[in-house]
Amino acid sequence: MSEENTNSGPHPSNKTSLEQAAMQDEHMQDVHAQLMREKEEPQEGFSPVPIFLMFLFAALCFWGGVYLVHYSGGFRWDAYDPHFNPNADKPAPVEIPLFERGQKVFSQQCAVCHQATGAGVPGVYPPIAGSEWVTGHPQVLSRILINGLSGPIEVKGNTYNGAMPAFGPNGMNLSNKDLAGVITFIRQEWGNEASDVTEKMVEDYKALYAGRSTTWSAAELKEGLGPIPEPEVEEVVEEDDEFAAEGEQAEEAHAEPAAH
Amino acid sequence: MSEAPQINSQSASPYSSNDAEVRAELSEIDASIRTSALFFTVSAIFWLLAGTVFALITAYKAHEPSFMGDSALSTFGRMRSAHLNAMALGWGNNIIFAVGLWIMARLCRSPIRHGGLLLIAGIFWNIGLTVGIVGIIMGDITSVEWLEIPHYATPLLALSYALIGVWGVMAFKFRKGEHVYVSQWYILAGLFWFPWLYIVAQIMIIWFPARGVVQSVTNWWFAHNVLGLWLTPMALATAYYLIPKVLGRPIYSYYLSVLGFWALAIFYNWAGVHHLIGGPIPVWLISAGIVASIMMVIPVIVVGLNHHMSVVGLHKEVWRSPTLRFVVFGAISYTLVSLIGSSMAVRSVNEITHFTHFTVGHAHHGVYAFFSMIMFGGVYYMMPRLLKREWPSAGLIKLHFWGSAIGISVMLFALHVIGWIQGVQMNDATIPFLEIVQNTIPWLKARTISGVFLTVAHIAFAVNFFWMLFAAGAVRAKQGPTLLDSAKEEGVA
Repeated sequence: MSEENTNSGPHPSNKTSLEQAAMQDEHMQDVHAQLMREKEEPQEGFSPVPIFLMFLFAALCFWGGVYLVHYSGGFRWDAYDPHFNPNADKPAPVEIPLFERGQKVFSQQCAVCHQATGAGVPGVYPPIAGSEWVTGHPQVLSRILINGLSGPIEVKGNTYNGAMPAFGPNGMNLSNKDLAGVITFIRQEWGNEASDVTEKMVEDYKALYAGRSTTWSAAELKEGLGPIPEPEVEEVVEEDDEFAAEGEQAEEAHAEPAAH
Repeated sequence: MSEAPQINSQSASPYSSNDAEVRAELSEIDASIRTSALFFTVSAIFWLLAGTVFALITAYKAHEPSFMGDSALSTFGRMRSAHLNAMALGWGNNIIFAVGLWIMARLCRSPIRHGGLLLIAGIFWNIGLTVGIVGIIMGDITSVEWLEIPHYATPLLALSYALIGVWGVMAFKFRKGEHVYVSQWYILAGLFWFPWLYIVAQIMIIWFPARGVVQSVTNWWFAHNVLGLWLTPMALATAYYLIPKVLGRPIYSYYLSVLGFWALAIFYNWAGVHHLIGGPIPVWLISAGIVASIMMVIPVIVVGLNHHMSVVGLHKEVWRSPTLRFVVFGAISYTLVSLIGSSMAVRSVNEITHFTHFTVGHAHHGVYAFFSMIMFGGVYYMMPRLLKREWPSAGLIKLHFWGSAIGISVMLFALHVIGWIQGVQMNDATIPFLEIVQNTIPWLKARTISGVFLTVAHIAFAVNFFWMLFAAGAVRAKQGPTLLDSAKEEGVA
């Protein structure tokens, strides 16, 4: 590969050097003109990769990851739609009836004092089974749970003087659903036969007493009670929803032939 | 790495050399592969001409269906498939066996041992292919796109391929020198990729058919990878060899070469599934294919930049050299076709281009404007070295270049435009389908005209080639390389 090689003489024992000798012959050089005028075999420079390319490639990789997360159908074999939502075909979470939900909340939050039987502890914790405070106007029990109760109160002929903690925003801060559940449960268990207290009602009561930071007293509880909401209202709304849903389906069914 | 060669070192005396030993070796290597490379090139040119005839018939029938419509042998489906296989496996593979193996042997500085066996394997490849294409025309065509060759011909093809490919691998095994050049990576990888693709596809679709949509997935995995993992690496290897070779300037960056090669190797294999967008296969497979198709932007930009920086500033030399005029046309097309291809994989674009002439145009963009143009350049460089003669006619080379360049440009313009219009209209349910079909007719006529340009180009190429091959006496008298303009500078061919 060096300059000297071209000038070195032939060595009969060496095929390569014979070729070299041949190439110095002018006739042979003509025959090999194509070969002789060739540039050297290709080589590579070592220029660095431009930095903007690295940024571009990083951006592409990032995009690829995001795209796969959004349109891979959760990598399931049975997902065919790019907008596949892995949660869509699962049945909607079963709505636990208010009563059962309330039962759970009661056993966690209330049964320690009022006992699983609802009988309370004589002289310390008032009974709630058969209590007129419980089965009366729903707003009364809601007030007690949202804001708490303190001071003397007469229940089923006995007077108690304790402090019922608040379970509303100022106290344990149970959700509307939990409050509605536990109130409904208390009003309907152990032979109690009062009406449901819905989530909506609890929400309204909470809004009503949002500003109140003190507990209720027995006397206050009986004052300023609002009308009891009609339970039918909700059912009517539900029926409306069903009708609306059916209507939409019907519209879709009508629209389908046109779309295809 | 030694110092980069001085570009002007040879201009004082074109016959002097500072690497005589290497040249002696190259001469020996050229001699060892001469017979088989010539056989493959001649076969490739015959298949190119046959494929051109099939293509013309197909293109004409697209707007004149009754043409040659009386015979089952010349129905559209058979002619189209005969064209595809003649071009892909006849022209494409033969020219790869010629140019690719020649470059591999040269870069490995390793003569082809027992070249006679390579020649025999090549003869069997062409026999198998002839049987296959006659089978297609006789009606034994399979219904699988890109694998239309009937089952009785494919084992012979696979076997003879193995016997051909092994020579490239052997050349690599017995290579000299520490450094493995980028062209060698591409060729070596391609030599393994192609049989892997072909044999897996044959087994899973033809011999022991997989159940259900797995066949479709395999089919498009194969069909797309034949382009990306067989034709593409071979054409890129050729470009990587010829650009520095003709210009006498090193390739711009080794690092870009590495990045381009591995990005192709990693991403391309996934990309084929984008042909099934909207199809009943798990959506993650399609999305992965789309992401891989977009990621192909990386190797494309890298290779394009590497080629561009190696050529930049020497445009006059590129234009004068028959080799580089074709190779650079092909290299530019590679960037274009790949970027268009990546965008076609995006769902919103694919909804328009899928099932239209756009895809047909895209396929020709890749296989002709990119692959074939670079391979033409390879033949223009290789033949003078193998035959120790010059090309007889610069005029015919120019005719070839302009016929190909104009022909393919007209075809690509026509098919891309009408493909897009067709796609948009087919997505509009209010436009009757027949009306859309009729809208395409003028554009399909333009394609037939582009086919005439290409035919003229191929005939010019063949005439020049066989003139060089057989009229030795007339050609030998010619002095200096055949260049494409009158400037009398030495050193470029």
